[in-house]
Amino acid sequence: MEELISRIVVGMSYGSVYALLAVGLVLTYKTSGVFNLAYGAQAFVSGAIYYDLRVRHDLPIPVALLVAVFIVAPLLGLVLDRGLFRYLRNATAIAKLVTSLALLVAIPQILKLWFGQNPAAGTQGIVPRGDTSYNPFGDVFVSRNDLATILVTLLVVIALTVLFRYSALGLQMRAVVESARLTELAGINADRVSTASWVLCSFLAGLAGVLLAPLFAAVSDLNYTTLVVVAISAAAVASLSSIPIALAGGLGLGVLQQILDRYLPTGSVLASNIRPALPFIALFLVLIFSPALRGRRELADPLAGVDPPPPALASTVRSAALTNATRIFGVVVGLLAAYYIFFHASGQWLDIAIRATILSVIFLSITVITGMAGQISLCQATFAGIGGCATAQLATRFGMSVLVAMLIAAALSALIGALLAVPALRLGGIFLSLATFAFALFFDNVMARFDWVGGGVVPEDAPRPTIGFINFDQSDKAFLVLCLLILLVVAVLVLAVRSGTTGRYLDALRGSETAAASIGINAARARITSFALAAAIAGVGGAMLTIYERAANYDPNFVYFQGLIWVVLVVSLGSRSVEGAIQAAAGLFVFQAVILNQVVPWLADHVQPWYHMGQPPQTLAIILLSLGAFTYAKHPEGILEFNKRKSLEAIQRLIDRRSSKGGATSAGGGTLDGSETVGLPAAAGGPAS
Amino acid sequence: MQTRTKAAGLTALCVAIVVVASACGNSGSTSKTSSTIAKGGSTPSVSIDPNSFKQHLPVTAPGVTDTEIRVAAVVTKTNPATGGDYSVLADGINAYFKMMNDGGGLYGRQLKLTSVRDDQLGQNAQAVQASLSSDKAFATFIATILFTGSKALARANQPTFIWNINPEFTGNNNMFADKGALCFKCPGHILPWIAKQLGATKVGIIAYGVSAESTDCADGIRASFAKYPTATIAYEDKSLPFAAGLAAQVTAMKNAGVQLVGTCIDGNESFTLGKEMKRQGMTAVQELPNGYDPNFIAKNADVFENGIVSPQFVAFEQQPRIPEIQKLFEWAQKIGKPVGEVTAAGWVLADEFVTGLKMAGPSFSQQKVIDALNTLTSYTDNGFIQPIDWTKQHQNPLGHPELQSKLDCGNFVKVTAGKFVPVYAEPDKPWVCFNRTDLTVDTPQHLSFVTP
Repeated sequence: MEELISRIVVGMSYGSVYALLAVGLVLTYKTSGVFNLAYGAQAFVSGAIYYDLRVRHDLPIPVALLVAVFIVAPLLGLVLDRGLFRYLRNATAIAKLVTSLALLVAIPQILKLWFGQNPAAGTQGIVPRGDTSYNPFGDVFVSRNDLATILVTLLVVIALTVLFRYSALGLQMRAVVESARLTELAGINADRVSTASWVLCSFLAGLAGVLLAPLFAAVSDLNYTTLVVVAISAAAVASLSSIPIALAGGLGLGVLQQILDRYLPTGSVLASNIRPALPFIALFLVLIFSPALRGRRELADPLAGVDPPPPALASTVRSAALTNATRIFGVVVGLLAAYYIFFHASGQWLDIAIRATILSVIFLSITVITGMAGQISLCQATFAGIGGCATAQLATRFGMSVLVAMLIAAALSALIGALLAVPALRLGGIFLSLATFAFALFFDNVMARFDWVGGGVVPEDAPRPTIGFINFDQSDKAFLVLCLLILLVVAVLVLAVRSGTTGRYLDALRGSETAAASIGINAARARITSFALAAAIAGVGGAMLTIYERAANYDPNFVYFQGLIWVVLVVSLGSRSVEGAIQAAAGLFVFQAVILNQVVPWLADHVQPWYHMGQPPQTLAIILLSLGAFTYAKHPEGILEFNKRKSLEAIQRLIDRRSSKGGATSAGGGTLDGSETVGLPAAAGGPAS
Repeated sequence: MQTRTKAAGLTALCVAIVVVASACGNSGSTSKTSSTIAKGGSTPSVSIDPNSFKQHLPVTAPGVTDTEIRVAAVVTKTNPATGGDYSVLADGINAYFKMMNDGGGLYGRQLKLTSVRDDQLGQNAQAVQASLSSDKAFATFIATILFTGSKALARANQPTFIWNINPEFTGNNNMFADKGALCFKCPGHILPWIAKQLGATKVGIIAYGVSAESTDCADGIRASFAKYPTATIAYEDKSLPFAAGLAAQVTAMKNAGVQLVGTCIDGNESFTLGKEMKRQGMTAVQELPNGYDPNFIAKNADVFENGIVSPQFVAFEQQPRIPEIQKLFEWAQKIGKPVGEVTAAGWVLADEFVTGLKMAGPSFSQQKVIDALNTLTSYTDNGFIQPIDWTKQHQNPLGHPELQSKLDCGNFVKVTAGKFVPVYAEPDKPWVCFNRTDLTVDTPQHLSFVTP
C-alpha cells in the first residue's frame, strides 16, 4: 500500500506538469483555434533559458524565473501572435497545423544555435535544495521539487478557471475562437484578445518548461517534444475543450504511468516495448475511441467559407506553347544534370543525387496524402521505415529477390496504412494528424525495437539487386539509373491517380465533403485508398534507401522527426505537384551541399573550424526550410508553385506584348489565379477537368 | 471507360514490375557473415625494423604525399540524444601525431589529421561518403553511435579505426578498434567478481528497453551471474524509455534488498538513478560502465559516491602511471587539450594505426596496413588496454567463445568524494584478469601488459 501511495505521489508530480501543458494546449486551441504542436518547443525555450541563467550563470532562482517565465515566455507568445498567427486567424485548420508544425521543428533548432546542440546536464528546479526529500511515512518520499510543481499547477488552474468564468477577457477570448469576424462585428478588438491569449498560453508553456526540467537529468528538446505527447493525450481526453478535464487527464496519465512502471513485468518483451510507448498508445487510443472526438471537426470560422478556393495548378492552365517550352527546359536541365552526375561528379555528388532521387519518391507519398487528399500525415517516415525494414528482412532472412521484397514491403506498408486509416480517417483534420503522430512515435519506440523489424543491435542487411548482367552492387551510377526509373514509375502512378477517379473524388471532397457525398462519392473509400497509396509509395522509398545503404538503418533515416521535417518541407515548397516533391528533395540536398557546406564557408573566408565543426549545416537547413512553411497559409499551393505561377504570368505578359506588337491577338490573358487562364479560353480554366 | 483503361494500364504496369522484379536476383556481397577474416599466427608475421622508419620510398596511396600521410575522422559532435561530444577523439589523434611528427614523422612524412566531420548523429553514412569522396585520406577514424557508414568503409577497404561503442564493424577485417568485437550478451567474470568484492548478494539491473544494445547488456549481466553465481538477480528492469524517472524502480530495488546495481544506461540516466537512490535513502553501489568522466563525477559527487567505474583502458589514476598514460598527458598538454575517455581512445587508435604503418614497412599501402594489423595476436598499446587478438576478434563472439580473447580483464576506480580512487589493483599491476575458461571468479590474476 505504501508503495502504491508513493507511486501516486510521484505520479502527481509528473502529472501536474502534463496537466499544465494540457491546459495550455486546450487554452491555445480554445482561444486561437490553433492546435499548437509547438507547445513543447515553447516550453523548451523557457527551460533552456532558466537552465542557462540558473546553472551556467549561477543567478538567483527569482531572477532566472523572472526572465525565463515572466519575460521571455510571454514575449515569445507575443511575437508568435503578432508575427504569425494573427494572419492565420481565418486560415484553414491544416494551415494552422502546418505552421505550428514548422515552429515545432524550427524553434528548438534556433534556440540550440545559442544554447548548444547537445543536452545540458545538471537541471535545477524552482525551489532551493529541490532534491531534498520529506518522508511523511513508510516508503513515501516527496521532494521539494515535487511539492512545488503540484502547488504551482493548482494555483494556475484556479487562476485560469476564475479568468474564464468571471472575467470579461475570458469571455472575449472564447468569442474570438468561435468567430473572430463576428466578434469584431460586436465591437470587440479581436486582435487584442488574441494577443492576450497567446501571451497567457506562452507563459503557461514557459512555466511548464521550467517545472519539467528537474524531472530529467538534462535539458533536451527531445524530452519536451516527446513529453508533450502525454499532454496532447490529456488534451484529447478533454476533447480540446474542457480545462478541468484536461487537468484531470494530465494528472491521471502521470499517475497511471508511475503505477504501470512499478507493476507491469519489467523483463518481458511486452513490458520492454509497451511501457516506453505508453503516452503514444494512450494518445492513439483516446483519439480512436473517444466518442467526443469521433466525427468532430476542428474549430473553424463560420465565415471562412467565403474565401476563394485555392488556385489551380499552373501547369494545368498554361498555354500549350508554354507547356512545351517548360518541358523542353526541364529536359535540357535534366540532361545537363545527368551529364554532370554521370561523367564528372565526385562520389559525394553521386551520393547526393541518389539520396535526392530516393527522397523524391518518399516525398511523392506526401503529394498524395496532402496535395491530393488534403490530410496531414505525420507518419510517412514510419511507412518508409516499414518498407525499409520489411525489404531487409525478406531479402536477408528469407533469401528473397530484393526487388520482389521491395514490392511486398510496399504492399505491407499499404496494408498497415489502410488499417491505420480506417479508424483514423473518421477523425479528420488535426485529429487525424495527431493519430498519425502517435502511430509514428509508437512504431519508433515499440515495433522498430524488435529484432524481426529493425534488426536489433546491428541493422538488418539488405543486398543490392542484380538484373541480368547488371549488378547494382558494383556501380552506384547504375543504382542511380534504377532509382530514376523507379521515381519515373511512381511519378506516372501518382499522375494517373490524380487524373483518375480517385483523384477527382479527392478533389471533390476537398471542395465540399457534403456536396461530394450528395453525388454518391464515398469519402472514406477515397481517403483510405489515398492513405494506402501514400503508405505504399513511402514504403518503396524506404526500401530504396535501405537497399542503397545496404542496411535498414531505422534510427538515422526513419524516426518520427524525419517525418515532421519532410512534411514541413514538402508542404512549404509544393505538395500538390509531382515536380514540387522532386524539387523539395533536390533542394534539400543541394541547399545543404552547396549553400551551407560550400558557399557560406567561402563567404566566411574559409573558416575551417566553422565548416567542419561549427553549427551543423543540417540544423541551419532545417531552420531555413521550416521558416518557409510559414508561407503555407498564404500560399497553400507551395512556394515553388506560387513562384512558378508568377513566372508564367511574367512570361505570358511578355509573349502577349510581343504578340500585340506583331498585331496578333492573345488567346487569353490576365493572371493565373484560377479566375482567368493563360493561353486557353476562359471557359476551360480552373483545375484539370 | 477511360478510367477502366487507366486501371487496366496500371494493373499491367504493376504486373510488369512484379515480373521484372521476380526475374532479378541479389548481389551476394552483403550479408552479416560474408566477409572473410585474415588468418594470422600467434605472433606478428611481419617483423618491424626500426631502422626503416626514416626510410622514404615513393608510395602511391590515397592521402599519401611526399611529405604527409593524411587521415580523416568522422565523429559525432552534435549529439541530441545523449549529449556526448565525441569530436575530442581528434585531440587524442592529434596529440599522438604531434609526438610522432616531433620525432621526425614516419617514413619521412608527417602524420596529419586533415579533416574532422561531424555526422550530427544521424548522418554518418553521408559524412563517411563525403569523407571518402573528398578527403581522400589514407585511413579513417570513427567515433559515433550510429555507424551507418560502416558498409561504405568496408567496401572501400579503407583502414578504419573505431572508438568501439558500436559493433557494426564485426565481419570487416579492415576495421580496428580500441577493444575487440563487443559481445553484450556474453557472460563475463567482472561484475560477479565485483559483487563478491563488495559482499553484495543481491543485484539489480537497470537498462533501456528502447535500445537493443542496452537490453542485450542487461541479458549479459543476467548471464554472467547465472554462470558465476556470486549473487542473485533480485530486480531487473530492462524496459526503460530514454530519460525515464526511476522512482518506482528504486523503491522496488530497495524493497528487494539490492546492494549492487548493474547499469546499462548512459551517464545522464545514471545520474537520475543516483539522485533517486539518494532521495529514497538507498545505499546500494552503482556500477557505472559509462562513468569514466571526471568532470561529470566531480559535479555530482554526492550522487555517485561509492560508485564503481571500470574504464576500458588503464585508469589515469592508477599509480604509478604507466608510460603510455604519461605520454598521453604530456602530448595532450603540448597541443593544449584536456584528456578524457574519448581522447584516450583517439590516442590508442592513433597508436594502432601507426603500429600498422610500421609493420607495413616503408613501401606501405592500405592493404599492407590492414594485413599487418590482422596478424597481431596481443595488441595492447604498450599496456594501456587489455590484449586484442586481431586474428579473430573481428567476429561477434556470441555463441562462439573461442572467438573471444583468452583473458577477461578489468581495472577499477571507486568514486570517493567526487574523485576516482583506484581499487582492487596491485602495485604495477592495474588489471584484474580471469582466463575465459575459469569456471569461477575465485582465482583472479593481477596483471600488467606494459612491455618492459
